[in-house]
Amino acid sequence: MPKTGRETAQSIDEAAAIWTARLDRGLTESEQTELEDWLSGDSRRMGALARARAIWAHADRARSLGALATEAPPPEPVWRRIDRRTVMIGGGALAASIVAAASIPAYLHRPKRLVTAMGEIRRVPLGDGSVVTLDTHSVVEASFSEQKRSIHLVSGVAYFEVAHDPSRPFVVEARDTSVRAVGTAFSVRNIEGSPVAVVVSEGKVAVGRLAAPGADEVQLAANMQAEMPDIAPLAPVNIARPLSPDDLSRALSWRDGMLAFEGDTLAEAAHRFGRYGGPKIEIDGAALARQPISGLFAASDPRGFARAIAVSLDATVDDEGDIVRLSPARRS
Amino acid sequence: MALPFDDRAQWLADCILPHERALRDWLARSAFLSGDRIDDLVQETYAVLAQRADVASIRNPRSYAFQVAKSILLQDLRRSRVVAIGSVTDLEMLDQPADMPSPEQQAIGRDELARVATAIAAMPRQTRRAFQLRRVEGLSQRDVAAALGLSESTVEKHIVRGIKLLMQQFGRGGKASSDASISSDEGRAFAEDRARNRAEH
Repeated sequence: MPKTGRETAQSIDEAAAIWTARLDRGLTESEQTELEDWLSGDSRRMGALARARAIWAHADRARSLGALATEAPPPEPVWRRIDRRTVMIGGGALAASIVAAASIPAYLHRPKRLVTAMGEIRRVPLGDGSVVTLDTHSVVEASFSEQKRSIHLVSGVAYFEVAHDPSRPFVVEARDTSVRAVGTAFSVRNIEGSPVAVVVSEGKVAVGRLAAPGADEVQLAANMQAEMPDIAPLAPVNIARPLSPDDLSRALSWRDGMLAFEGDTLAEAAHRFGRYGGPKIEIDGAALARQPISGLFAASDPRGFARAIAVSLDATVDDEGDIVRLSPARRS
Repeated sequence: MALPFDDRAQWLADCILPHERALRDWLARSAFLSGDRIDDLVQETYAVLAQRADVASIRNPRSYAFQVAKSILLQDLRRSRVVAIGSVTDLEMLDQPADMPSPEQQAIGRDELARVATAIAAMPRQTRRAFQLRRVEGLSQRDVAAALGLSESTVEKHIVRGIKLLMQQFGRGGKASSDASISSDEGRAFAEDRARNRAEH
């Protein structure tokens, strides 16, 4: 392999980034020729361009992160932005940045109410370094002050990665439960029909009742879960239980668009698929609905789930469009 | 010469890019390649994948990409006079990593999203804004320029910079390796731009 004078992968990558941006806006005829010449010079260039274009295509996944800029911190004063780079491009850029600052879209300032649609999973920075990941069909309201970072999980499931800031506790409220964190990562589930559940993957949180702030709090450490029954008074010892690493990753698998089951009934599983939209899974027969199931499934593919289940539970699947029906296999 | 077309770029984004880190790790771990060599090999692998006539028949893109990288590497080793003993011995053991267990698969999904988020968060303000308007809001570069009060060529520069930052996330290290080198590139780019603008006017 010739070593001397060989173009580095890095400089090829830089050129590939430039060509990707040009391709994105459309090439002129002379650029088209220039690109072909460039590509024919070294076989790695085609690869670098393909990779750069893949990265560019991939970046539209940023859409699922949603509010990148939406949740960005408020604009800095203009003078702070006169950095080296701005100075280099001169007064025009300064003027431009003032214009841009003045025309910042209104959504930058709207109150932080974060909503996910059916089937949508979104990861949103909260501006203080903390990040919330919302599961399908969930609503979170964030109000941050100098003293406190308050989050209201109105409904659904959310996972919080909390930036450490002892002077501003991070408190998540769901129904009558409050979850207080300093610097940690945990998820809270607030789904009608089942208890509010808290799963801690890092650090520590204190779980309590809104009605009795500070009193009777349960400390949950990493790899622990607590379910808060609606009616019973908080019985600290009874609600907290440890999670194995497997249980933990299962409990948080929704963040990757996956649903994990471990001995859940088929009815429960169908219900959880229902939260992601798509065809509804209906189950004929109580015995079938009670069957325990285990496995990891794509939340967006209830049909695939139904087919897999049919095979393992010896059931039949009827795809009726909006409804996927599972029935016990007819024995002859 | 056929360009890597949009649908192929999308396929690479969906099927190969998420495994690039694993491929790089594998090459570093099993074949003891240097970072530079891995960069070359990754580009060569993408070149093969970009020019392959048909990808629909590739059932397991991850292992296919590993296979391509491995065969390029073996070809290089055969061609080169100096046989790196260590490499050859270990290459015998360069087995296809088995299909991933699901936890790793999950980790990749998270990792990937986190990487994109990190790269975007790390972008300088104006770049991030241009990038967001183009990629998230779907404005054309021309409309982004109008919205931000910038020239189209400046928007293009911001897009280039955004792509470079993402490239770094997917490439070595995964952390925006050196801000200094980016800003100096960027400085150069803008300086060239300025010179060009002067020349045009």
